[in-house]
Amino acid sequence: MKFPLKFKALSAAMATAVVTAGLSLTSLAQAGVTQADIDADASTTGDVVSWGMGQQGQRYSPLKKINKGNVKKLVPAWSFSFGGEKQRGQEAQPVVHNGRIFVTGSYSRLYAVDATTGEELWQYDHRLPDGILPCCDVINRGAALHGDLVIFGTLDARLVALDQATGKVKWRSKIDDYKAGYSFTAAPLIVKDMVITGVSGGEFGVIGRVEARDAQTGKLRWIRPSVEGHMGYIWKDGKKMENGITGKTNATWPGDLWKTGGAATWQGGTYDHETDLIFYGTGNPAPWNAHMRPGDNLYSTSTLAIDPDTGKISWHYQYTPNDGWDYDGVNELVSFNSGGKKLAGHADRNGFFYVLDRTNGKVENAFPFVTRVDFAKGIDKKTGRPIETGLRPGDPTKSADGKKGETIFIAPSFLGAKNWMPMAYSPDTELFYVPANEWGMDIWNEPVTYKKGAAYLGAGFTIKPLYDDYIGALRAVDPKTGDIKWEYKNNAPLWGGVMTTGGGLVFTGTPEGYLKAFDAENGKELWKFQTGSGVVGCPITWEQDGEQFIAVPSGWGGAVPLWGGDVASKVKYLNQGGSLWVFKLSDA
Amino acid sequence: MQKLLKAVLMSMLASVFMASALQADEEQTALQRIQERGVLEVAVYADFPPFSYRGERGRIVGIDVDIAHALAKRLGVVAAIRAVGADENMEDDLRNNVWKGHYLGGGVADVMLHTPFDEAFAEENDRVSFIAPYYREQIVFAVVADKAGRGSPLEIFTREKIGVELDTLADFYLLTAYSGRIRDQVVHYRNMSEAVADLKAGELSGVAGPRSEIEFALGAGRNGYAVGPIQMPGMRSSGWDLGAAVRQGNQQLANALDQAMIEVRETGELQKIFEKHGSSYQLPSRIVRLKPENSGVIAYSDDAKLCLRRP
Repeated sequence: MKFPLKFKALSAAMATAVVTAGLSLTSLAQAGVTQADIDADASTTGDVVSWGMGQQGQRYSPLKKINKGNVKKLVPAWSFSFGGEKQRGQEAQPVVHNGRIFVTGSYSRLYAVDATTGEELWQYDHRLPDGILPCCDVINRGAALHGDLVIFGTLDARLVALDQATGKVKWRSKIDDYKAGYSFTAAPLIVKDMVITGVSGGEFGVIGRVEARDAQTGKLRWIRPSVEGHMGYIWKDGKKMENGITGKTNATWPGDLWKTGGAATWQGGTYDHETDLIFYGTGNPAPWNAHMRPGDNLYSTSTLAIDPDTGKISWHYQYTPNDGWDYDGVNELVSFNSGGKKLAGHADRNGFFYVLDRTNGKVENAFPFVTRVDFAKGIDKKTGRPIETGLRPGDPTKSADGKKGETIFIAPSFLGAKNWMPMAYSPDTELFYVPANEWGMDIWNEPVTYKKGAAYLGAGFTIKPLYDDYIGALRAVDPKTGDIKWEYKNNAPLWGGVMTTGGGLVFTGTPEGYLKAFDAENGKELWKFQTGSGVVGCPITWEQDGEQFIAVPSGWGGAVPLWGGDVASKVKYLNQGGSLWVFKLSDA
Repeated sequence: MQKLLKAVLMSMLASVFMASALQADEEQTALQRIQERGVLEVAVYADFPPFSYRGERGRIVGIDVDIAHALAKRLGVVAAIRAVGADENMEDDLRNNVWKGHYLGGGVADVMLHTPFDEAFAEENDRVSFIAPYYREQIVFAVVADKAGRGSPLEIFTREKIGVELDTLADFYLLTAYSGRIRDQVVHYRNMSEAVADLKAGELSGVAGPRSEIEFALGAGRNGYAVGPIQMPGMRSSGWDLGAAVRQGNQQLANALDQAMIEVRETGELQKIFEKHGSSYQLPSRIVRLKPENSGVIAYSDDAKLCLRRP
């Protein structure tokens, strides 16, 4: 069994089909997810057919059946176990369509579950080859829907498209060679009937790129590298053609370092239909030591705005030029309109919240959203560049004399003021709800270190909390003023996605196992439920048979226990898990 | 050094109180288990010529592979080679392959080869025992002969292209040496084989990297290149010792492998293995030996001939 599938509920479904063949055909014809469905996802409440609950990534649902007044009556409708011995981090955002929930699990697994009963319809366990070395846990962040397909990426850098009804593989496409350090864990984005993906593997010095494939066939349409000097390609009538290099070779990189420049596109992108642009973030540049690559190192630690028709970069904004702190710029760019302007918000790892004009990438506003940012005093709004304080890690070749060198403490840590977990924006309150973490890191040069059996000049990092009583902080951020309207403090670091609703609620999970609901206006905690393991997934909500449902995956893991330094020992007691919880209002 | 002393002390205790202490019972199990099943599982790096790589018909061959077989033979078992990918650093590799196993599953090997033999490093990695030093690696330069000797050895690379493997000591050194004046001439490759291929094709004036990898890649075409260490100002040392690593506590296994390595070295087999794979053999700065004569106690001594420790 190369691709084990389970058909628990399928035989039952087929039996029904025999009885009501006509009806089944009708529902099958309606089953396909069209591009129009995806484009309208933010306003249609009967399903969730995109990452971000809408391509702009606001994670806002207008639903208000569950609201401040009745959220206390939220109870589990059912829970579904991912099963197996494999657990670790469950970071997915589920999608829902046509009475089915599609949710990905750790180790490149995908489940189709009956949205009403919680019964499994089918399960796909991707066969992972020996010798993959994923850098940051075995997570997956979710699947995309298009037509009758459900599409997701795997730890061995494949894209797999399955039939939504049966779980049968419809097409497979290789993103890259897992042996060279590539993988793919983000949720794909669907734009203009194309599936848009990046590459994971930011820790192996791979070259980032954004790719578009035909969503129905998996055939490549264009490739846009994220590092200057690399050629982009576009396919016309099945023919691969050069499509111009990214940026200008050697403009911001010395020597040939652009050839291995990193800038991995390991997190998902968003799409704004108003400007017709794909927004994709890029990771840190390679090698890790900034002293070896003087220059801005474009387009690392940036958001790229890419024209979906041409595969060309319309504009870019770089958050951390010549990054020396591992501040990936991959965090999502969320489109919103305010004061007649087309804007977008981004909460960077480096500790600044940026408001950009999303038509041109010019910075409108930028301010810290955590209590301490050491690398820069602020962002120069004229140039868009950080005003650096000069606090940078030392040059590791200086430790070649055998001395440890100076240790510097800098906040935020390399896991970021905000990591991958997506924030939410409410057009009702006009606030962003940002899952932030308050931590810093000691960095020093390691004179005695080895890599692949060879002496090496490394750096040591230890993450340390800034405060005794909390690390995580869910913050309501006003993009106009930079004011923090309210905050909720959490003992463990926050690592799950946020959602907000027309019912005036903000939902997010905690590593301690709770899904919590807050008053969107003032941050008052109104409801919580213990899911049995840490919540690092993304909640969603939809309406079905007149009732509003909320779903969230549960299962502690991700980068914190692997990389967290002092913080990792703080969260050691948290148990792993793997399940999907669905909630609704109690009838009583 | 403490770590190594501890290893010596432990082995003394083990031989005195053989099987009397609980620790010794546990220690015996690893070796007994290996001997019962007749297989010593040895972790080596994948795609790493000349030490461990796929040869004809996909068979894994190389210096470390031959050493693995030679050690297993002396334990009276056969070697099962586990070719592993290199993770970000040595600590990760030791965790994945020696003391804990990767979280994707697969468990650990009995012993891993090509691990550093360095007391400072050993002190920071107390989950494993570092044993059986067998080789000293060193950064050397291979320079087109008629270019070598003009000016100071490194200075020519402010004008001439030099190839390195990405993200290695030689790479880091050259990117920052001479206040960055060499930086623009540094050409990066995924491995030394590719760098040397470009050197032979006349695209480069030199390459820098580990001696064994460069000598192997140059092969018979070594004439016409000056190969050797170059003074690298600011570098503490351009060489490092390599040995094996077993899980901490598997002391009987550690002793048996140390003993086996002594035999492999003293019979001249070790040197022959290196020569067979086109690399010159360099003694490590410390070697494992019996002390006193055949008492069964093992020590790591630094009175070996330090023939090529420093240029």
